Amino acid sequence: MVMLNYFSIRSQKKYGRVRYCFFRYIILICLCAFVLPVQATTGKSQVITLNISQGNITDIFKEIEKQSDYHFFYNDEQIDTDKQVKINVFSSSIEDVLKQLFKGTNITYKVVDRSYIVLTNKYFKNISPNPGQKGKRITGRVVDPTDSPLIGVNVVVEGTTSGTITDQNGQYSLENVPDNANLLFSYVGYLPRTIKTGNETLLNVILEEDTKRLDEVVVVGYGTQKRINLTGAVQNITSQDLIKRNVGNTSTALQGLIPGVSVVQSSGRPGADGGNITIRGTGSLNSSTSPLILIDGVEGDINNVDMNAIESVSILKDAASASIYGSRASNGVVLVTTKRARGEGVKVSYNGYVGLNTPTSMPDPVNAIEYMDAVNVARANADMDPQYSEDILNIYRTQGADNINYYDTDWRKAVIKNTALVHNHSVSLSGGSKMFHVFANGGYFYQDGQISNNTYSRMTLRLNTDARLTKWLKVGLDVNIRQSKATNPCLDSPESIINKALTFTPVFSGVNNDGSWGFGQNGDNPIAVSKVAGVATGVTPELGIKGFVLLQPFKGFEALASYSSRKVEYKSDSFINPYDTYENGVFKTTYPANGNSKYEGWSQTITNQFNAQASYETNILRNYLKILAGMQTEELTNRGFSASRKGFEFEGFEELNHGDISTASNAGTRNEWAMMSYFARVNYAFADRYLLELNGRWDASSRFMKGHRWGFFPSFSVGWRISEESFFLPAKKWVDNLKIRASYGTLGNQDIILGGNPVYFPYAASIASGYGYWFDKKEGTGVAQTQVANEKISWEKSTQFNAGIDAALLNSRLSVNFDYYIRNINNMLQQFPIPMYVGLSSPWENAGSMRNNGWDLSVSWRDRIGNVGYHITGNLSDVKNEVTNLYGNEYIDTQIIREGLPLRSWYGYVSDGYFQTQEEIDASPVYGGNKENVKPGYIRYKDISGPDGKPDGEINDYDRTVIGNPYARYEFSLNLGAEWKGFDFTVFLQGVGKRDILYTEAGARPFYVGRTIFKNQLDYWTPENRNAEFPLLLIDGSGNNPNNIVSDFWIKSGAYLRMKNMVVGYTLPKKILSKLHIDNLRIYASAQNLFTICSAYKGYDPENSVDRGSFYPVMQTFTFGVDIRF
Amino acid sequence: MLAGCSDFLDKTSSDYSSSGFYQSEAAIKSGAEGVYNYLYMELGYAIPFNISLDHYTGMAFERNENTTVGAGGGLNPDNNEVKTFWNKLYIVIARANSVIYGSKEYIDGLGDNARQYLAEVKVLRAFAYYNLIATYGDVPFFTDPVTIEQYKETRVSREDILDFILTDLEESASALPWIATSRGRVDKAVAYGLKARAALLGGSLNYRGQGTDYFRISAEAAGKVIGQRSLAQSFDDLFNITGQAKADVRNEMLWELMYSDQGIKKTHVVAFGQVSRNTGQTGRHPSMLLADTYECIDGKRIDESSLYDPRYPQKNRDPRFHSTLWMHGDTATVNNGNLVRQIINAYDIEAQFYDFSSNAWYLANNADINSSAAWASFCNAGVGYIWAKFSNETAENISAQSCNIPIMRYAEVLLTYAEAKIELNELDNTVYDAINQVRNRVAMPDVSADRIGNQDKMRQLVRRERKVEFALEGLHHVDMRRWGIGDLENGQPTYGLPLPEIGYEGLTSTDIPNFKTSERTDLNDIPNYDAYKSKLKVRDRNRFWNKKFELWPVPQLERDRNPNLSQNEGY
Repeated sequence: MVMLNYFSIRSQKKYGRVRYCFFRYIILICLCAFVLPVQATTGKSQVITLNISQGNITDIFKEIEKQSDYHFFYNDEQIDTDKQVKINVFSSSIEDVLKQLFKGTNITYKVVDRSYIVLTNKYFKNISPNPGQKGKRITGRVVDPTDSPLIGVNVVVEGTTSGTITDQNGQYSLENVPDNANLLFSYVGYLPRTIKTGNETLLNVILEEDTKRLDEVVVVGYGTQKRINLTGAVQNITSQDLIKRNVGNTSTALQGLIPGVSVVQSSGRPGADGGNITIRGTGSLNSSTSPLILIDGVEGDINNVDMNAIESVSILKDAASASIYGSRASNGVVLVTTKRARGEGVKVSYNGYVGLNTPTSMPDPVNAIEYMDAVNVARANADMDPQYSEDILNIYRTQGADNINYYDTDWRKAVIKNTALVHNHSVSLSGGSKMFHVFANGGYFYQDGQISNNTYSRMTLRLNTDARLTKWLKVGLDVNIRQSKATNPCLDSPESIINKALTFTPVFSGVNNDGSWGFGQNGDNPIAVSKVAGVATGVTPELGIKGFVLLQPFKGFEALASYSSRKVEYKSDSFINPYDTYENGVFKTTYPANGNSKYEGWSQTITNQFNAQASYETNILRNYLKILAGMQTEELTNRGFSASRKGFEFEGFEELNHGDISTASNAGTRNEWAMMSYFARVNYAFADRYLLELNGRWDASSRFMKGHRWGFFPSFSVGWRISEESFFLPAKKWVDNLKIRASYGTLGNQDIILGGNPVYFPYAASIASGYGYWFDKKEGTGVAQTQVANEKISWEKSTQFNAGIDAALLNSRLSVNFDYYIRNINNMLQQFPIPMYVGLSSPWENAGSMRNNGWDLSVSWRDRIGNVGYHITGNLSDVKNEVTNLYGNEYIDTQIIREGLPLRSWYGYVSDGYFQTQEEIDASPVYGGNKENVKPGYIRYKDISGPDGKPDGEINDYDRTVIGNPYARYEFSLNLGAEWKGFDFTVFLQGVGKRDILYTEAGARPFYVGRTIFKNQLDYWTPENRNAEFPLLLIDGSGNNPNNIVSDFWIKSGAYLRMKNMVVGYTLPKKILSKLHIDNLRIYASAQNLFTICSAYKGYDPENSVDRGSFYPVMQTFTFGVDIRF
Repeated sequence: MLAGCSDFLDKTSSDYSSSGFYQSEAAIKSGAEGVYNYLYMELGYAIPFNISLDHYTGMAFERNENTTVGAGGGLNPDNNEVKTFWNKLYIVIARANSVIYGSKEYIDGLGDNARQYLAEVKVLRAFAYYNLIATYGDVPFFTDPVTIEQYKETRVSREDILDFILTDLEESASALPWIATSRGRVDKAVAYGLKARAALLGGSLNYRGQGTDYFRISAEAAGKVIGQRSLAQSFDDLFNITGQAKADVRNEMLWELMYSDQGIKKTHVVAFGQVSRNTGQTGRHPSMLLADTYECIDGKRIDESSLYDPRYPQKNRDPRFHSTLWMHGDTATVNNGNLVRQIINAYDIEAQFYDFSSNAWYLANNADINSSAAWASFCNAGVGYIWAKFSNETAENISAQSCNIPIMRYAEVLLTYAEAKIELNELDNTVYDAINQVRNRVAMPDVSADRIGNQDKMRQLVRRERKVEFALEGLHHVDMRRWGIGDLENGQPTYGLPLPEIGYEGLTSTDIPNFKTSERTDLNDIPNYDAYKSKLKVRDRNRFWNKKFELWPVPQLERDRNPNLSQNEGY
């Protein structure tokens, strides 16, 4: 299928119009939504065949542009575009065609750069409207921000018909320009500029590229569409937007770029620091809330694609845009399109950076003396004897810790690195001939973690090839190879090691003064665990292959078939190597006591996908119609096995074979899943201003029983381009484009995920093995049913209404997009909390509904002051969630799911400061009812209700209420950029307006089950410090003291504003580079997460998921990089 | 067209489908094993559930003051142990019901083995229900898998549940052999032993006002077991891996939670979590209440025996004192990877250790006093006593221990028989013989003449025997409630060893607790330390008892999920 997009950009001025015509071929090369925008240069013949008996000259230009890579540039004041001509050439060169075409006319032509044809009228040059008035001669050069000459830029004197166009060097010359005239420079794809001449005779001008071009084509489901014709809420991002961020993965780079798309990076762990993407709020209770991510039409991991290989990312936010993906698209769709080669010749580029990571913030644990003092205070507060005698404290004060008899271990310093290396390299090669194109990208990314033996590296190789075999047949083969490797200490997770490094008490032994390992907490020594206790290595090879065949037998019709196979393996390998611990000079224990052990695991997931689709489009008079229909099958097979042994006698021999055979153990699993789908779409447009789109998709999933499998997901959307109406003409001066649109549709969800793992047979009461008992001291193979079954489950559905407005104003310098939506999720697939006495985990049910409604706003401004170009983009969005129907059920825990409340609201007691005196305690109800257990300095709770709905003088279950919302509201970002003489500067601010974070256990409380205390937690209540941040200091042995129940006391605002990214770059002048045969060379430095304003607990990053204190800090990153293109 | 594609969408996994699964002997055997599997339920980290239970009574406590479930403050509907025990017992029941229900239509066509496995499953289910009613009172009750309609079920009376399990156990017993061929499986002895244990609960708490009937059921059930099995020769052999390998121990161990040092091993860390800081860590501690319950070797209580010396409390005591407890001055040998022999020391920064290569004692740092973790040692967080039971292990590393944990011993059947008969006031020779068997095994004298024929004195003795014989084996959790002595055990702070400035040598011969503050304390062996408490370490100053603690509360989370569940009185 070939879509012909003809568009003309008119300058807004009365005179000196430039007619510009340009054909762009969009070639759908993949049925499964993988679409390749190809410039007109691609795969076009340089020989022309024309047989036109009667037509005006612009028709001929169009036809030539269609057949070839040539573009015409001319001033339509100089060329009689209505001139009727006839021409008949066969397989002729462009020179021959032009010669024939302009024979006997005043038009001269020049072919520039092999593809631009500049036309001028030799008798029509630079005519002044008032020949009598003398002006001066103005010359200059028009370039783009990278100093490349712009050819064919229209230059006119405002208010006159006097004008010219630039030549192949971007040079122009205008005679008889009056003083203080305004020169208007306009060029397709670039923002027009008006410049006052003043006294200057030399005017060099830089034109800014118009990134919000109306002619922009965006990738949509199974195809592409012109932005102006979009009726749904679709937004896209280009490669540059992503690469500029210099982060290790694409999901994090998306953060803040699109309103309504929330990306939270809750961990900084190498290889696991990708952002969690949600589009327009949490879309499901228990099934997946992640958008469908398609990489060239095939489901994949967005973080495993080299950003340099990405052409664009489209986000389909509303149901109408997404519903062509039906069942998979309930949470929106992210379409990643990788680059393909275009044109002839070879282009090579390299982009690489090296940087340093450092945690954004970390809690600051106390030293030994501070710790012991605080412990004694806490014990005194509970009428307990001091734990550390004055004698011991004196020894520490006078002699200090010798780390053999008395310890003062700085666990944080010993475990957590201050800085860690990160570097990234990406080489792209793009080349081709008329028949064949290849794009290749190889990337390598390496990130060192903040603790020892914690690294991540990724190698990627992508090969996208296209071959046009005949005029009507095109084939292609894409290969994607990836290998990621992650290493972690194998005895404990990095998060847990970091948690221990922050919370282990300083009086535990870490490293003895003779260099031996300390006993830590009963042998658990995070320093030794991270450094010597063994490494777990996970290697993830991935191979993806896709082939396609594209048929274009006649105009407007296109058929495409593709088949892809993606194989992802995970090979894990770990060897636990126990270490000996000593304390006070005495051997304590070998940790872990079970001895050494080896584990190897392997799993493989193969996903095969077949697509076939056909489309036809036609223009009849002012009607445009396009019909698309297709089908898709997808099947997944997952297999895995693992094996382990213990008792390895000989150091260095760590293969399974070397272990004690009697300890051999192994396991294996298999799962399958399949889907089958049919889809269709109709687009209709009348007079380019009334737009209609209908979508339908039928989906069946193996996740449901026969009879419950099929779901139908329809949608429609409409748009009205008001700016194209004749009555709008007076407003055109300010408003270039104005469109309103609305959509409504239904989507499905079957992607049930539990604990991060897909559930493939949610309807089945399966009986699993692995529940053995040790009769006669030998393990048997016991089986058990562990979940209640429900064979009736079917699709979770969401309906979404979306209304939006798109506007471009003031020469497209200002653009505004606004969307409002209501998203209702019905028949939610959920595991409703069931009584514990059922003894099985909850069945899946289609029950209940909830609603997300919200809005997305994006405003951007782009202009140039003198040599400085600048742009500002602001995004703001909000989503409000409400659980609307749970059939009277509710789920109460730390988080509550109840009708009428936002999903998973924090639920607990309401604090009311501290009890300041015993009298206050005597006069107030206390939690648990036992006033013996409460003292001044304890948190006081409000008695807000009772059995009769009124305060009852007791603090009990009735006094629990909603105390916060864990989900972000008012997410915003501000992107500021400027360019000046090759320098570019970007500042990216991002934040959240409202969010509540609950900190629990070791994440919030000093001395939580034997852990230490942070410096900021020393601000505790005493009679002298009654407004302390923390309550009366207590040893929190089991977390049962009344201060520790869930209350709003432990909730902090998660609102923040952060300097997410700052980049300074410099692009070397072309003059220097051209001598070196370099097209472009840019060097840059960037900083990620430079600063953050927030009010979370000190030491915690508001984006980090800290909760119980186990987390991997989010990183501040400083990078230096180079981008070079040949 | 759509229907034609359905084959493509019929996918399979490596799990079995439940419908029709339990139609073979092999399947029922595997399903039964899945029920046994959940006996590994834990209330604390890597600790078998029954090890934790005694710590929720006055006999023992966990490391942190005033927070142990039994010590008062922690026993509330939000408490994690309260929730966990409930949750896990019901998982045992669900797994059992799943096998029983799934095999219903096939079992008649299957052989004796299948019926035996099914009977085992029913015994396990009865065990779970026994623990539920003993702990929580009335509870939701199901004998088939719970249906969605039953998510709003109310509680069933403990009496009805007890009657059901008594019947079920009687039926199950008929399909079981007297001694299971595989160690770890329940057998006829367990079925009757459990019936006796459960009926004793109904008798003691006078269910339906028919306590006598239940005592009779208990005595009869226990009586059936008596003679079928016998006691191990050595009490110590019951609690370490070497001893457990002996045939006489196997014979006494009616039912054990199985662990293994074979293959990939199944281990626990009971000992590691309770020994001296020099050889492990200390999270759980015996109380002085327990220590002072042990008689002197003359068969008399410490306040009544002339053999008791407060300066050397371990001298002249019931040998089970030494098998169960270590204290200051005791020699303890523990394998923590190395074999460590030390003289337990509660006061000095150095302690005596034994060098096995030179066969000599030497002084080295005493981690119980001088280490960063000394605050959690037996003399600081504890009250001077260390659990020796399960810790007296030299054959394997206590960090990965594989000795079995008894759930039911023949000794219990003997003492249950005796208790039921005493409550029935049927004080015949079978009663004295049962008690004497248990006492004589550890060389303690026969029931003394002054007790013969005296119901009160016999009740005192059988309760004392149960306390000292089964300490740390989880029975006292229910016994304390059956006997209604929670207020006595938990009504005062936890006292312990003499303060450092006093030491054991600083005590006088009159520093002996007073057991006779009331008739009840006397008959239940509850000591009072008020006379010399200023010399003693004290913790859990807030320790208190409330009548409501007789039952644990229904977990709040469960009542959140099913508001039709009523709460126990007082919570």
